[in-house]
Amino acid sequence: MSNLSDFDSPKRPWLTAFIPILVILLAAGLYWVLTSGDSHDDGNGLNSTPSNTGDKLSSGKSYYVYASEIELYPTNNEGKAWDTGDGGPDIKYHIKWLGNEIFESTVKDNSLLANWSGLQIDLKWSDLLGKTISPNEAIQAARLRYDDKGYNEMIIEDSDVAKDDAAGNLTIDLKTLRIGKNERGYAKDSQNSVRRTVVTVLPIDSTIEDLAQFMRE
Amino acid sequence: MTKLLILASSVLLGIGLVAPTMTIHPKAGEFSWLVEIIDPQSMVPITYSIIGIIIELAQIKDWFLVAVLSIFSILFPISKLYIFWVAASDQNNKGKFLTIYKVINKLGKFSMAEVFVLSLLLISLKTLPGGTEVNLEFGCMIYFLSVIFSILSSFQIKKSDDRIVQ
Repeated sequence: MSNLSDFDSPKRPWLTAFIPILVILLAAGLYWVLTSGDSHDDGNGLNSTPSNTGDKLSSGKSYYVYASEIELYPTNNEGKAWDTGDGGPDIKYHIKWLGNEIFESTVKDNSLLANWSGLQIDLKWSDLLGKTISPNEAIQAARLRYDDKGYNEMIIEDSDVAKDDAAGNLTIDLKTLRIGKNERGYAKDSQNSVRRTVVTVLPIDSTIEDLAQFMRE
Repeated sequence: MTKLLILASSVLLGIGLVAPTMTIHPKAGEFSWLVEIIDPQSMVPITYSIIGIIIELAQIKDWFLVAVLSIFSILFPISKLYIFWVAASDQNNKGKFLTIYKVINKLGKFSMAEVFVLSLLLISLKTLPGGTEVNLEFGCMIYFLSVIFSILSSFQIKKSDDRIVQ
């Protein structure tokens, strides 16, 4: 049996029992305050700009080149509507290098402002049973090698059933390109209806993080 | 001694609730590289605390899991420490002691309930497809230490209770 008297015991034990609850809250609060400064650093570096953004292209190295954005003027080279009725142009582009067509984009229907992510996978129902896709298959871009005197041509068209209408034929001096997005504006004339292009250049040996950074639409 | 154990358990519980408990490393199997390109944010490893998990579940309105985790990971351990403190403070009133003794006996059966809930959660995440990995962080160890300290304090209280009840 206990020999303790009632005099020794706390008068309001239920009240003093809040001590552990206070300790829990204090410990949690203190930890929170001490560590909250680190919460924004996720340490994966994905939000940082890749180190090679804006770098010049290196001679002899291979690159992915694609138009991530093309904007056309509201009328075609003849100053007329792109399509009969209210339909906008169905934009597509080709890339030529050393006189050879090396890439053709998909068509973006009824749009004056077309975007391409540089990534596309065509899956059929039968592929659901099992298909292996390599990054090279999925990346929709021209592959070319850089040299100081090199250039490529970007032929932009309004895709039509009968005959594709030319929107512009742009010659891009490779020397003027930088790794990443290269934006340019163009004046309208009888040969050109392209208002603006954004050409993306990525080294073929880019890390997956760099590709991820650039290829998101 | 008992109160020291309860206080230690309280400090560890407080830290264990807000410290990183687990890190999920998302993977999408063969298509991991593709998801990294299309949606890199979804492939970033995420670290959760127990409170963080509950907040996340509340945001997706999974109220059942919010309730289960809140009860077994927060409310139950806090209530247990509260009762233990009362028991450790009020050892003179025999009538009250018998009640507390019964409560502690019942609580003892659930003393590993929170560990069980966490284990279930980990197992469910471990079986996610695509090779997604879950790594335990130090917060989990602190939380488990808190549970162990509370078990030790319950033993101490039971020992005192048994002496008084006899």
